[in-house]
Amino acid sequence: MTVGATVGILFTPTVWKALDDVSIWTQNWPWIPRLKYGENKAVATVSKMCESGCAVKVRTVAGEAFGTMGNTENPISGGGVCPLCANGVQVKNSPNRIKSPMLKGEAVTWDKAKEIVAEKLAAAGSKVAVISGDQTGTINEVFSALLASKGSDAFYAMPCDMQSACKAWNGLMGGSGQVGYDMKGADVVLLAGADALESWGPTVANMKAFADNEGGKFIFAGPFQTKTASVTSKWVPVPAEGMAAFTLGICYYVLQAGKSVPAADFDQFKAMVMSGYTPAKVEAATGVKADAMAEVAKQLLTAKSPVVVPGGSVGAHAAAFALNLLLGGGMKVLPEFAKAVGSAMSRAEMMKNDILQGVNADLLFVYEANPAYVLADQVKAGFTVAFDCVNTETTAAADLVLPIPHSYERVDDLASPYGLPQATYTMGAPVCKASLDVMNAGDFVLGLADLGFESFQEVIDAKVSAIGADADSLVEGNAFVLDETPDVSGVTLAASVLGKAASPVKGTGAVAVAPYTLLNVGTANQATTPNAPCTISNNQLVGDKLVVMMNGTTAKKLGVSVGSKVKLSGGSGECQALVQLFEGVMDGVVAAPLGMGHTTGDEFSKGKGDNVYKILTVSSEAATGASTWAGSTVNVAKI
Amino acid sequence: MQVKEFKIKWGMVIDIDKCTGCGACMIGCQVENNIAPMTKKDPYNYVQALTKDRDDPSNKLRTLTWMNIYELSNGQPYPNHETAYLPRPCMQCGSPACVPVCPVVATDKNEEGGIVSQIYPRCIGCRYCMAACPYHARYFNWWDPLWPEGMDKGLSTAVSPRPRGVVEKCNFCHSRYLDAKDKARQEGSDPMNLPDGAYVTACTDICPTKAIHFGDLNNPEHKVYELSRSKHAFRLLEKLGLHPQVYYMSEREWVRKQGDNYNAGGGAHH
Amino acid sequence: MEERKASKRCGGVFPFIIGFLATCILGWAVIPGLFFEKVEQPLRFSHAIHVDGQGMDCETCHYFREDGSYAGFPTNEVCAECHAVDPGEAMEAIAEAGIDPKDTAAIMAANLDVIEGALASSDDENKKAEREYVVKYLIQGKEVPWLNYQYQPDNVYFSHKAHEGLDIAELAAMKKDLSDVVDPAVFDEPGEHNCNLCHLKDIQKNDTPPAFQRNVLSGYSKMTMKMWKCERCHALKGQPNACYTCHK
Repeated sequence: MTVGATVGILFTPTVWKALDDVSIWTQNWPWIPRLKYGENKAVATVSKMCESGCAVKVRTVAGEAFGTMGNTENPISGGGVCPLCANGVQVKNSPNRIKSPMLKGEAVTWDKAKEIVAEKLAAAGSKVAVISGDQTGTINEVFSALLASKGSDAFYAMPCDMQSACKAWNGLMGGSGQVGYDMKGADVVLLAGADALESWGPTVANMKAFADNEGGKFIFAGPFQTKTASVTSKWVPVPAEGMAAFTLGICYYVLQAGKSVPAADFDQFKAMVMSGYTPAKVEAATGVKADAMAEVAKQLLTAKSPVVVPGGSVGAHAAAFALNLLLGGGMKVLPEFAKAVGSAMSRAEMMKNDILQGVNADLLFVYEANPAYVLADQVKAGFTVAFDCVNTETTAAADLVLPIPHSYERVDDLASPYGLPQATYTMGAPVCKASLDVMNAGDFVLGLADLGFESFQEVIDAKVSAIGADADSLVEGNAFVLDETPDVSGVTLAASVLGKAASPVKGTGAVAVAPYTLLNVGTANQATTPNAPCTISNNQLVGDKLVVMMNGTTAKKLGVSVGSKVKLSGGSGECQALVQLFEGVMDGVVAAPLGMGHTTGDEFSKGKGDNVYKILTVSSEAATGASTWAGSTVNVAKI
Repeated sequence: MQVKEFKIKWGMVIDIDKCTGCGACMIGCQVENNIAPMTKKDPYNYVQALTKDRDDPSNKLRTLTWMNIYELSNGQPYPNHETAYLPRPCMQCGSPACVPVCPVVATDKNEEGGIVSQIYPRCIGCRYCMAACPYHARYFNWWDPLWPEGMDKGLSTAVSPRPRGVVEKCNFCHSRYLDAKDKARQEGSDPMNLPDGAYVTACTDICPTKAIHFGDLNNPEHKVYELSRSKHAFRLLEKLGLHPQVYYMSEREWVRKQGDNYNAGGGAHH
Repeated sequence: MEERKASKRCGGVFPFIIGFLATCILGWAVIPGLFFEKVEQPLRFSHAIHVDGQGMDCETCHYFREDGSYAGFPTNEVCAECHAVDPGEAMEAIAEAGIDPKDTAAIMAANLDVIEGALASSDDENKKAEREYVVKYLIQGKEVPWLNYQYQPDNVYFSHKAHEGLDIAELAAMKKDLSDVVDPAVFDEPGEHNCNLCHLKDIQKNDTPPAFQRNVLSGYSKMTMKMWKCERCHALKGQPNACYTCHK
């Protein structure tokens, strides 16, 4: 009977159906997520994860955000997105988000948080400070107005090229507005230390300008062949601390060719360069061959619209601005957008304080910045309130942590990211509802003091009407562009300061360190993102080990080779790293990636590599008095 | 194997002189194609104490990078050194090496447009195709895709999530092709004659320098038609005769030379 | 002797046939039913009331979006065009009545004016279903988790747009070849729409939706079309059967 039953069952569909169903069952394990379908949309907004911010469209399906794409209509994007912002939704949904206000590690209510901050604010008097990691948002107006209401001007930006540019242009040279660079229209672009196609300035807009610039020649000058240098027509090796001198060395040839500007101190500038920065002297001080400078100068002089884009110290910026004025090319001066909050600081005022010289306050607000990671020694406060959407070293060390919505969940804006050739304003409305117990930092601050607004949305509305833009068009993702040029007639060449500031000063360590930023590795304020680790090359990270690069000659001198474990010591700390040989690094220089070695955060950044900020040396630039990391050196020991 | 020709031939032309190797295409690709972040721990593994952690993303043999960026070097010492970056999707070969070796026909080149298909439920994970592909464009799911808590709510509907044990690869964001055809039908135009730009891949979309061009290599109205025929265009390992549908462009001779320089020693490394 | 005979008979043809028939009957008539469990739709949605009663077109809810994709199940946004209860107002009224907004049974029992006033149905039975929709889904901002009789797994890409032009009358010529693929009754009186080819026949006349039959092993629907069916029709129609025609 059993045999009959067995044969019988084979004549029915049962066995075959069961086999088929089981095979399907093995393809649908419960831990493999099922997709949710619905209408696909792309909603325009801004992303604030990279330094300058990206104009993006967030892709949603059935109302749930899943991806980020560029915004072709917006000049900041032109369709592209940077690798950080490309992973924005994944950061928004990350378990690393801060879920509720935290007082010394304990969850508290927003009412309680507000009570505490109000109390501390009343007690602190004018000893209140703000550190903002946002370079472009109107949120800075709210924070600076709060400071003003307390009689404080302690507004600090995280160290950035915009700050160096501001200090040089608005400070040393007496200019107004903001400097920008027309990289699309220029026929020769000298990137003097600006890693413009990887991390400097409005990266995506720069890359778009590079792509659209048919026939233009890009030249990169710097200590290390960055990703930018992989596509420029030429790489001129120049040490970071020698960038100002190198630029003045080019000025020498330009002045020799008879170029001049109607600046009050032109004669003084000319005399300073012609005597102090002759090609021979610059070559002796920086190691850059006079021929190389002559060649670059020749190209700039024969170009119709050349532009020099600086990176690094204040001196290097001032030198580049002077050179741009002499050349009369693609350097632009942008007007500043009208303020929304009357008592707020102007951008130049916000950039004035030097965070590297230290912050000391009774009450410190930190907004989307990570000073505890970058400047562990410089920042001291009686009570720290950190606004952020994800856990960082700064939120871990703060007394009170206030979770804010992610870029895609809040109203925010991008007012003229530094480097753009035109004053450009972009606004972002929330794409999705906040799923955590968060509050916009603007709303929180407006609840602390009467600044004339009830909510941050009102501030943004006021900003939009103050600058004369059309709100509907902004919501659709279009940029508002202001095509005006402020008066630059009173600008000087800062001759007296520049003569001293441009003289290269280098530390005493065995090799110079060339720190560099890659957006997929992370920035000072934003650690790497969930999908990015597999895009990070073994030239930056192997396992959990930081990788530093040097050329064969340097390695030989140091007695190390590929894969050697080394300890780099400099500044006030040390880093452990593996050595990789890369012939795109200058002799006597070691290139080290910034942005790794986090001690707080998710598994994608925590404990990965080492923090190169620890081994940088802060020095005060001669004459300008500005702090700089240029000229940092380290000692290298094999371990 | 004979070269399979179709009326439409979707192809890419990647301008290496524009690629900075920033990695945005790799991120855009992972998001579009539901590639999970590489987490170390598996919450469904109940014997974690006895097993090793899942692979680290810096182990480049174990990543799922359908689009991968290689760094090229001209091999010269400082200061004459030059670098270039080479994004590598699946080449969608005209005569693919991976297709004939598949014992279960999980991969095939049979659709109009010439995209080499990969059907995950059919794949048995033997990895013959990976061994056959000279471009290392195929990847094996050594682990189940696990999104950290809360992250699986935002997934793309473009591709089905794959379990452990199957091979996957770039498919030119193929469901975008199906979407584009639907859109054309909706608009009353011919789905078999899409205008330039109606269907592009996620990496093409996101690239900030627009180094990646995508279109029909057979259609003179598409930009790639002309670009693929430029004197600076080349394909990787052309001597193998696989007829890739991905072209590269560079004005730099050393870059073009490396395109056909498999195993010649030195040069390319990730 | 008797015993030996019995045992011999036991191994003979007769028991074999009994066993064979028993499992055949089980395997054809009983077991296939055990593969499926019946799951009711989350709501009693009546197509008849909407189509016949209200004179709505199919396209009001089931339409092609501008990008050519198909809006299969309508979202709350579409339903709210008629079922006009303002979620904000409703929630306020619920809070005023001192009811936990998550406690849907209590809300339904409370007969709140803001909800009751907006119900369009006349008889109690229909009112009950409508109220359930409004309370459980609409005002909670939650989409109804409808069960899809034609469920397909994530690795299938089905384009409604590509099949929009299929003509039942034309396909009737292939009736014989398609007999395993499509219910032959579909060809008897071809309707205005071709939906009957794959979807529940004459669903527009349905008052109480049938239970969804879920396969206990695979979780798919009993009506989930298998690949060979898709391929058969594609082959008959001269359409490509390449893997990427339908898979993703």
